[in-house]
Amino acid sequence: MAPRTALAVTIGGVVALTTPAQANIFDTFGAGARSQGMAGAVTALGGDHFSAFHNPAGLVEAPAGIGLGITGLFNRTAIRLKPRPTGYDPPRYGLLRPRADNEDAPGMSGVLLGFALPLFIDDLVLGGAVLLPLDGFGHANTHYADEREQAFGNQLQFELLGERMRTEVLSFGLGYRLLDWLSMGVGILVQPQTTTTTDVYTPNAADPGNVDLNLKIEPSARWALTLGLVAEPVRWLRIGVAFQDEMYFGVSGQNRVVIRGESEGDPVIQPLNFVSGYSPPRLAVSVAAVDLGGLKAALEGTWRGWSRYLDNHGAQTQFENTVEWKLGFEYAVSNRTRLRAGTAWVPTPVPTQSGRTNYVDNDRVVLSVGAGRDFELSEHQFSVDLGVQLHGLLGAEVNKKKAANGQYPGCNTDTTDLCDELTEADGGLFIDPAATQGLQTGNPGFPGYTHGGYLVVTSLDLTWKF
Amino acid sequence: MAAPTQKPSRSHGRRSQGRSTAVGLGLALSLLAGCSVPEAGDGDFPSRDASALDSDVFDQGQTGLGDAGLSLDDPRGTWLLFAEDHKCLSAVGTSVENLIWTTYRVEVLEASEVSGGGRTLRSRIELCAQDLSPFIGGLRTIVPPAIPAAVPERDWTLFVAGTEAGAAVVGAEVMELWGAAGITPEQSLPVDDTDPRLVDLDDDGRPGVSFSVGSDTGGSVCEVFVVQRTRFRLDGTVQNARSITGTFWSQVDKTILGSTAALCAPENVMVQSPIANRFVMIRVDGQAGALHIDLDGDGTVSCAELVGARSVLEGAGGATRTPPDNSVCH
Repeated sequence: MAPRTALAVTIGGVVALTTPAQANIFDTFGAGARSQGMAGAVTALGGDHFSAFHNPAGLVEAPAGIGLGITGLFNRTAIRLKPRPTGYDPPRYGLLRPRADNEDAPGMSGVLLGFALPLFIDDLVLGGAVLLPLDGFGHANTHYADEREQAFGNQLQFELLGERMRTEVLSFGLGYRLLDWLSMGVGILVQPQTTTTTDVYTPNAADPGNVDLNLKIEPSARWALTLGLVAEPVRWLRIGVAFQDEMYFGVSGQNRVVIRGESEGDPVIQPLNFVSGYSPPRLAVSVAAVDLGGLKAALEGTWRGWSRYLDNHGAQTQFENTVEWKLGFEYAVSNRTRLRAGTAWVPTPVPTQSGRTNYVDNDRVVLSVGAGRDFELSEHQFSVDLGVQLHGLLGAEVNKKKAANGQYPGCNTDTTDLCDELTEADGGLFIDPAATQGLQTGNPGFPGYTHGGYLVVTSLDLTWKF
Repeated sequence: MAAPTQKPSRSHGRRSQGRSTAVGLGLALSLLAGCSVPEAGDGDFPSRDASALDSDVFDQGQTGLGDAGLSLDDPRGTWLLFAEDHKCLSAVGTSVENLIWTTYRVEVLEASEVSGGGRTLRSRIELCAQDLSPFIGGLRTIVPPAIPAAVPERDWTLFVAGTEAGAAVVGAEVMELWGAAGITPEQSLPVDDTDPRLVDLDDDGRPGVSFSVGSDTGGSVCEVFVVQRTRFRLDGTVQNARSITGTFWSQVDKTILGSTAALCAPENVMVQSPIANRFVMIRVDGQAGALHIDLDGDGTVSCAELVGARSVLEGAGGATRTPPDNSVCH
């Protein structure tokens, strides 16, 4: 077996043994130090193994080699809740979990792995880019974005940041130079799909802590396709186009609960449907000027189909499709050293949250810098790249909307307005009638909140070229 | 010749890079300043005084919680009867104590002397509300307001052995029939929805009466359609001019005609708890130093006013709810 083939098999085997993962941190910041240093504007500017994620057509420009890196995310975002006015609490509100600001958003650190290997001919290159979090794999932490969350964390969460950044990424691609001026590529993202069935037998319905359980888990995989083209119609111009389909980590299944004496032979079914780390379909189009006295500049627009977004419980949302704009530069200071910079505008897909839901997200302004240098060690060629990216979340304020007539709908499945958890019609007589008058809501986002802050991500990559 | 021209150029490049770095840092710092989280401030919803109803009672100086005379000289007027019925409910593999709290409005119309120094109190009794303690997993049966609203007011007689504190009080047996008519205390209840004795008391198109099963936050899980017969007899003593307390015998019979979910219609057995049932009668018309729950100022005390002033009544007259004790039913 040729060394390169053996290496590919080894890496592939290692990757296959790891827990499959979710593709979001690459989606948010760019994959690898070079991309992060250029604000992610690399669809037309391949050149490293991370093209397997951004645009597999760019793999044909990647030098053969393997990469090892580290990345860290510093999260300084916060959600501050407006104080609750008196007289709106449903019965027993806050006894289970006190309502609280979210000022302790998690960061992340992880290992970056990658490779690029010509297969049989130099014009056909296999590549991979992987992010493995240092604090473990398979994170999922779902939450409700409405009044139901009062029974759980009773906090608000950033819908598209925060926990979503703690996930693994597995991406692989194959690039092929079709013509001297045209390359194409195809790639995949891999995610787990788990079906869980839990059989629960409850001998004593009044003692829910005493149950007999059996668990059945059937893992499977979810795949998302990545397609890309890079064209170089003239020497100084490159055009890159890449499409990546939607992807998420899903858990479905059911609990089948049997209560002694009640439902034996006819279990109560509790369906499960969780979605974590949803990434929408994206289409990126990038135009890059190259060979301008050592300068490369790329302008990139990325359309994201957020209208297909599924929240943690698989519910459709009213998110809007967006177009992000990125501008990236790479300047060759010398034959061995490159400086990079970039900026981007990332509009939020989340509409105004004045109703029932509390999907929290901000418009973001991105600034980035980076550098790369080639060096030789023991007659082997290496390159090291550093990238730092700052995401400023433009501060935003949410106020729940007052009903003009003072009437609020009940909290039914299809209710989108701020809703009354205890309407006058619902109130049994065991509840003080005074407590059912007007709006009662334990929605943690009531009566409003503010959110903002910033994120800093930095990566350091080392690539061994052979 | 090239070298001398390159040196200034490199120096100029360093200065240019320095300026670029400064500009970049400035941009980053400006961005961070603009991205700080705004102070939360207040929302658009004003605070509401949730205890306004209770405050009305006290603020108007109508509580009358002065010293009560010990003698029940003139019982005529409006009273609250609050009954706490202790039952043991066995269902779905367990047994719990299930408490039934019922609120009545009693209007004592006339007190007639009888031989031996006692008096009979000719009264009218009106069901105002009933609620029950949880039975499984925090779920409880909810008696919708439509049911007490549909139960007609009726005559009721009490016998009071004397006027002083400690005098015995006995109430004539009361029988309530929900969802059926023409059934004596000894006859069996209808068991299916074709029985001609059934009455759609709450007028909801379902046979009998409809109870909801829900949590104590008010949400309804399912509905159950039943016929229920409740019988009770009071046995108490006079405490003072505005209060009578004691125990009572009761029997609750119920048949289930249908439900929207199996959870609401479990096979169950309801028997008397080892703990005695108790009741309190509290005067609520402002006489003899009593509470005056005439919240709307129309000169009468209605069921709606009694239900609305629940927290006041609980605090002032012993109409409190005892927590269920499941251990007594094992």
